[in-house]
Amino acid sequence: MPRSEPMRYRIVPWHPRSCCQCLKGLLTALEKRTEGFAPPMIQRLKIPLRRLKGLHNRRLLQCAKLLSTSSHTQMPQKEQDQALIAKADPSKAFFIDMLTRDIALSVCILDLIDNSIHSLIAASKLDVSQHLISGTKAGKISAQIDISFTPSKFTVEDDCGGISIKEAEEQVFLLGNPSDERTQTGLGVYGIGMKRAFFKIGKQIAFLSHTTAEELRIDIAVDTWKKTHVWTFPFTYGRPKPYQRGGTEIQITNLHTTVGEQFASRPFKSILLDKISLAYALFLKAGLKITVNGTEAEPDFPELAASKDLRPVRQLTNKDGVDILIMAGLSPMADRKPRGWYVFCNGRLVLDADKTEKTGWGADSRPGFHAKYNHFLGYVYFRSTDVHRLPWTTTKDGVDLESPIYQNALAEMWVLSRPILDFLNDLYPEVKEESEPEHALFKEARAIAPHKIASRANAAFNANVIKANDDDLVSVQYKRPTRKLKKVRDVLGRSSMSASRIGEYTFDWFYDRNCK
Amino acid sequence: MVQPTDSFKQFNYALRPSKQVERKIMIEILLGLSAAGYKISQYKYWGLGSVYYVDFVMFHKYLFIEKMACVEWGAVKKRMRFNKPYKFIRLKLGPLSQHIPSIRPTEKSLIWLDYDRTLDPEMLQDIDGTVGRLSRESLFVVTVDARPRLPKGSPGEGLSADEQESLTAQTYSDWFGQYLGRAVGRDSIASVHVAPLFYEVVLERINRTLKRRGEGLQFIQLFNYLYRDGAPMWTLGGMIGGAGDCQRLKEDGLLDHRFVRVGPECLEISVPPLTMLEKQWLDCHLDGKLTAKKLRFELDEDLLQNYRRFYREYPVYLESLL
Repeated sequence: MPRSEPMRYRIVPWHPRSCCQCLKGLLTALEKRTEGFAPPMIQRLKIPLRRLKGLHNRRLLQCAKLLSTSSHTQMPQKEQDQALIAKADPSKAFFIDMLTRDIALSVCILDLIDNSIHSLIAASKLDVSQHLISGTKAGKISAQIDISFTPSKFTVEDDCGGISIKEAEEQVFLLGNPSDERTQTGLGVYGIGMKRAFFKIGKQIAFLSHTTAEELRIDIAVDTWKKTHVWTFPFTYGRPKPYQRGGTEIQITNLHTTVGEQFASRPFKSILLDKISLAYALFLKAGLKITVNGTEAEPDFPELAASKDLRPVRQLTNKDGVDILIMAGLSPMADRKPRGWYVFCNGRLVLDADKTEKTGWGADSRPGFHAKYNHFLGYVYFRSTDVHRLPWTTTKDGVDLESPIYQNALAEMWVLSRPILDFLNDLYPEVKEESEPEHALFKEARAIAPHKIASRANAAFNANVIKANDDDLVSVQYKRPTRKLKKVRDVLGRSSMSASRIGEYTFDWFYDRNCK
Repeated sequence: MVQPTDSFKQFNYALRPSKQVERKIMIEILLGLSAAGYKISQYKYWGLGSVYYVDFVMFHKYLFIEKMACVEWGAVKKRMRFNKPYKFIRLKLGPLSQHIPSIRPTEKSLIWLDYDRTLDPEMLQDIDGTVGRLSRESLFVVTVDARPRLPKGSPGEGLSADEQESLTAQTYSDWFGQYLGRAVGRDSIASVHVAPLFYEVVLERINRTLKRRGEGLQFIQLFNYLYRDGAPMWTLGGMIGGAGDCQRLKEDGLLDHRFVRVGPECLEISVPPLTMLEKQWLDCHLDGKLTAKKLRFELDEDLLQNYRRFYREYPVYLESLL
């Protein structure tokens, strides 16, 4: 066939009885017929073929039919160029590798807890941030999430409501969540955490869930799934069955070697418990129980110091549909842990005791964190029913620094906290005696639970320091060798003069001659 | 925290002729804004006070502003209370940073951060904080000492002039490099004033803050002045407005006002010290043709030109026996 006469193929409406294999055969035949000729046209056929396969597997259409015309019409060059399509199919192996590469195991486990809590929020309409902001008490939650692991098996089990067959079919297993939900202050945002956790932890996953009306099971053999071109997980079963209460159980076996090693290490359990205690402190306080290998996590919620003369700042604003509550002040004198900023999104901690540029330290002409700021303690709570507006990252262990909502909150955090840093600067001056009033004020302040401050009206930081009067007495202390003191006594002719009296005498002598 | 400098103890604020000229120029432009429909008399004035309250008195008398807040940090609580010229001035004691949160983003404000020290990171934080809260159509002005020097108490004290210059350049690079996108070389701070350097830094700070706010706001520059009553002092000011405000000011011709400076070139305010008789003679004879040679007393040509420019604003001081 002369090169100048390319063959033109036409795809006609799908036929219900033909299948992808038929189309493959047809394509091979066509390729042979057109050997060495018009590759763009062949590619043009190949693309619809893949689409057909996808459609076939999604059961949207059973089959298709491709017909060719034998008319040897001349294709214009422009149309030939437009027929060129670059392949952009995802590779599963690459996808899994990239998804799990930069995330810690403990963060993945928190992703699974987020999933459970998200179900709980959907089932119970729980809104811990709102309770904090409005000062109301959350109804005691009766729900539990149990995490257990051995070097060969990982399980997370909850009674947080479970997921329905419909949710599993259409939403929960999507790799990336197109959900446009704007009705609850949930913890699910990107629709990637649970699947990422599966791939990070092991190769054999059993996902069992039940609502009060039905139950389902999905088994995933990751290695087998990786080899196929399908992007679905078939149900092992999905059937009606009544339950008293909904819940989910995820069992992961055939663990990755490094994961098994971490599960075998002693400190991992306590590291995980610490992270849970911080990240879900608000939920734990509201009654949620989370256990790790049988040990219950306790809420870890640093408290602010307050008194009638030392009042932390509290400010609630709303920006583009996001409530932003900022509270800051000093941690109590007895609290020896260096603090910083704690950032929460919908009640879930995303930054813990941050002292870096992420929360503005050392950026934009602001001071860097310094040991004298160890007692600085600030909370920022972002709350929204539109979870995409919240400034959290996909791993929920950081903030999206480019989020305009976060940038504006950051500016406000620093406007509100500057007086606190000024106070801390005064508390630790070069000459210690100058800070006695500040120290007295700080010492008097007592720990106060954040919700007690959260429920107050907006107020700036206030430290009512009563500075020393010009006539108040201040101690002047210093040390000198005994032999020198003896000599002073000899010169003065007063052998019994005390060291403190010598200090007063010499000070007054200098003052009378130089300062009067 | 940088400590207050108490410069009012060195100067009587009312008797600084160049400063007074600057105040009068600003008032002239603010009256122009009033004529363009901005209700300046209803704005709230925020100033960094001194016991003299000069700007408060002038802004009340000439701009009819009645809502005023005076932030004072020095240990002169009683003097500040005693000298308060009007009851309606709200005295706010303590550092400015403590009072920035109380600037209401819903209220139109005229705020003048009139510092008596050179630019430092704390000021940039003040600027960020205030510009971040000011409502549309508010006016923001900042004045700083324009000498290339480090704040009082900096480690440079006791060093040779050469060492101090190096240290200043290094410190300015650390402080301002992020706004300039480059290090500050010794050549940038070699002159008697560093107004162009401070202009770049402060303008960038303001623009970054407004960009972050994301409300389509821009800084419509009106003032860029350098005056000297001793130390060179640099002032930058303008409106926090939208594109509509910029258009409105253009159409009203305000941006073409002889004392409005919309770019990096600053207006130098320097007036000659004159006796009463000299001033009166000059006022009687001043026209476009008068040169220094034609004067009946000695005065340099450039000083004459300066006087010609600011003769309306030139302050006259007389001793009064109260």
